[in-house]
Amino acid sequence: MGTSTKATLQSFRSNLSAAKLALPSVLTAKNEGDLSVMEFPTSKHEAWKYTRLNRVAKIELESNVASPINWEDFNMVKDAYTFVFQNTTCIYISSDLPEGISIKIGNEIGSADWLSSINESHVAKLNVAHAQNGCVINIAKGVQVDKPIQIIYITDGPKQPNFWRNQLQLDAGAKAEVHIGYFSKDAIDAYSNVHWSVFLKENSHLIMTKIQNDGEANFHFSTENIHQLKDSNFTLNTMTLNGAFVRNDLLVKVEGENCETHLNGAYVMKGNQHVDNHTTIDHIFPNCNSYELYKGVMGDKSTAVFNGKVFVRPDAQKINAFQSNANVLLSDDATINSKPELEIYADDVKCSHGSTTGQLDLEAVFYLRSRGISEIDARSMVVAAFMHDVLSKVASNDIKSYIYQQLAVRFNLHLQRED
Amino acid sequence: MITIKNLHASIEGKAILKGLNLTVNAGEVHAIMGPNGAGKSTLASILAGREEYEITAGEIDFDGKDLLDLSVEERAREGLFLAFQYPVEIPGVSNVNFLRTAINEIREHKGETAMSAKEFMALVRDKSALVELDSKLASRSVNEGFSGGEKKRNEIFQMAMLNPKLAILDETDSGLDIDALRIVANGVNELKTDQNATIIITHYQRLLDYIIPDFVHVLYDGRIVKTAGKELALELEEKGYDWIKENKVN
Ligand SMILES: Nc1ncnc2c1ncn2[C@@H]1O[C@H](COP(=O)(O)OP(=O)(O)OP(=O)(O)O)[C@@H](O)[C@H]1O
Ligand SMILES: [Mg+2]
Repeated sequence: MGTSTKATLQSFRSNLSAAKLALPSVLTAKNEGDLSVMEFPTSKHEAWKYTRLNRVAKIELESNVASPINWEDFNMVKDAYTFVFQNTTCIYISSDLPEGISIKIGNEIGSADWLSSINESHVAKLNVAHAQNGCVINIAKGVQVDKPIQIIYITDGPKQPNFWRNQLQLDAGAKAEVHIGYFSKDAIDAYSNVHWSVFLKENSHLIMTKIQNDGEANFHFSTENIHQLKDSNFTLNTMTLNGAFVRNDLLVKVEGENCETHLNGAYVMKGNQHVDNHTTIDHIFPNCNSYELYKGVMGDKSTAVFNGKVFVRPDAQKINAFQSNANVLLSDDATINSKPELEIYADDVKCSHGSTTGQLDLEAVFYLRSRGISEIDARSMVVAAFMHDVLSKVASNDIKSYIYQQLAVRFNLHLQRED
Repeated sequence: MITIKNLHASIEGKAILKGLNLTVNAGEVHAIMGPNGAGKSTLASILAGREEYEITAGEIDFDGKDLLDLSVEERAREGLFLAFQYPVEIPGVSNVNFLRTAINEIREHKGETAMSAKEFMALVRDKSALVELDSKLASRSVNEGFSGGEKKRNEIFQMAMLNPKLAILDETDSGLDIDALRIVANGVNELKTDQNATIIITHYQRLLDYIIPDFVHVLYDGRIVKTAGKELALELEEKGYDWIKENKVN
């Protein structure tokens, strides 16, 4: 591509292989036609107003031959059922899966295994068009998985494109904890696009934690389509620790009564990093609660976007929906665009939202220094204190330790364990 | 211990300290009294190293070191401690954890080895008992949700933990009930040796019944305008500051 040629969605796709996963026609039928007339959205598109895609569009992606690696270098959880993808290959599968968990990977997945879950964004459409690998996990009725399930995705090599597509279903009464890590190795200008469709049947219980710790020069797009049926309880923790550019699109459809939804997010950024969290909780049925807490610390020239939509449909009475986004800017050049969007069509609901952005509490920093603590440690303690509540929502101690360790390494942020 | 010479300081272009002189020797207790807005907290803040103030003239010698050359944390590590008039709340930072970090950073500065967890916990027990600070408060977030009196007690608890050479107590007595006042004063007296010194900023003679000062100074309009023994506090309680203001004119 010469410098004079404008980067387009079509030029971006020119080196990408077609999907290797067998996908159902409900997904594929219109997809290619839609994409062929699509362009990368610009700031004129509401959902991309503060997230520019020019840098992404310009990457000339090329597949790399991955070299052998030790996946345990990326391990987050001591004792888990683990699956590891390195680029488009699944390189590790736990051999000791118990009764009640079934997992299919890559070409084991038939098109009939995919449940209907449609997302119209260009990111999701690209995923359908180019999905190379992924997994479909089913937790059987009433099964409480005894250990966490861990899925690790490693992007290996410069300009590497990775399109992963996954599905997780919890049958009625099932309970599971799933930890997902996105990492990279020897990669710059790499692009990963991961899609998860998640189905929680009646009275199921799921905690999902995403650790986004991609390399500092990589681009990561993550889409989650969540479907909750009645009496289910869903938690998604989105922990963004690294990456040049990270976009999260979460859509939770609450399709039954008495559900609980928890979305927690933490992002800690520096340099020129950009993170964009777009979340939607769609309350379709009455008597549900949703809680959303996102917190960010932005240093240097980093930028963040938070857009939290909550819909309460006309018949969805007695909904409690709480949303909060709080940010600390460590530098004058860091920016955050935070926007709650509540659309409420029922009358008996309790919704609240709050968005705050502030500087680091310098009085607190001074106080700690006046007791003999160095400025850097004092700042780190105050930042850590700010992040404390959202990080404490991560239930797994292993994952918490992992996050704390990463924050210590990259940001000299020392969090104190309370357990 | 500390010698302040001709200290002039201003904030946002407004002169607050206007040629302040003060010498405090090891083993001494000094009380500083003076009307609201005289510059008492300003002096304390400058000693602790608050950066908002502009020092326009003067010098401060702290045990042979140029205090104004040291960062906030270096001053603390050299043994200076300020009990704040208004201690901040720091949600999410545990009192004992931050003190442990502080003690170990101070020890590192002095070339000493870190304090063991056991030793530290014993010290916490000891010192929280000294100021009768509920051990639950000791391990909570710094000052979060503490009552006014509990905050002040926590300042003295921290002072006891850090064992400073020079402690400056800025209105530690205000907001304390009679019992707390005695406890805090008792704590300060227990910590007193001939190696350390205390500067007590107060409006009330009451505290000085418990902590007997060697000197009482009146800070007025940015200067120490009168210095005498402990009887001066009684005289001020009786007569107020007007007679000193009048004296000062000549
Ligand atoms: N940040 C600031 N900006 C402007 N003026 C200030 C600032 N801080 C202090 N001052 C002024 O400096 C003067 C001295 O204040 P300081 O707090 O030192 O008084 P004080 O003697 O401690 O009084 P009090 O007995 O009420 O505690 C006051 O007039 C105050 O308004
Ligand atoms: Mg004062």
